[in-house]
Amino acid sequence: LKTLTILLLGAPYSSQYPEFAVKIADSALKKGFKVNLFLYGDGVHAGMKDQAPKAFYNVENGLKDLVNRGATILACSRCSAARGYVEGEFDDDRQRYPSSRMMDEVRIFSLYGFVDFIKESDKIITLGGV
Amino acid sequence: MSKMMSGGNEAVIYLLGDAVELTKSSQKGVVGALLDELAGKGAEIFSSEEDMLARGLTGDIILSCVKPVANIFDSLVDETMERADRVISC
Repeated sequence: LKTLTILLLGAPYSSQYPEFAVKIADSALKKGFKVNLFLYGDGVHAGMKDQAPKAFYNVENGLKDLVNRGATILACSRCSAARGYVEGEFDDDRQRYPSSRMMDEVRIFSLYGFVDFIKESDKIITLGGV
Repeated sequence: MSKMMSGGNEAVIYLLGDAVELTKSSQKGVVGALLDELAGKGAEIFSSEEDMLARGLTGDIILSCVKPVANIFDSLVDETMERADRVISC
């Protein structure tokens, strides 16, 4: 089973990168590939709860659908802490930093999570950050 | 990329979002000429048809070397996972 990892650096609603990430991941899952998504920098905002865009693609709904179909989504803990998402110490049982503002489908995790993604990936696509 | 292709490598370019503006045939900068040059060396240049239509890019205002693709993410994933040795995203 080949694995695709997407590194998302762009925030939703200020760029199309999160939408592209979801659509690429959606296509990869349909084709039977394993999919990882790592949210880094402003990309962690893609995992915010209760997004309510009026005219744009709803990234939150897209990410939920991906996880329900088997994708793994992590958000960088330092990036998340810097942006006010982290609300306590790492929870060993839930394997994530606690956050009431981050979607349950997105686990706030250390950057080592991305290292593990790289190790298991056949290909990596980076979106945003320029 | 031109140097890479001169070294015997193949290349496929995908244009998404605002990058589809690079497909305009009326552009005065060097990018359009570069796309033509790469296509002349055998590069395939795919552009999201959905993103082009959203920006009014249709018909003969498009560079002839560009191929609009309807479901570009399927094509991109196939290329990335099954054929490409390397992926450069920017």
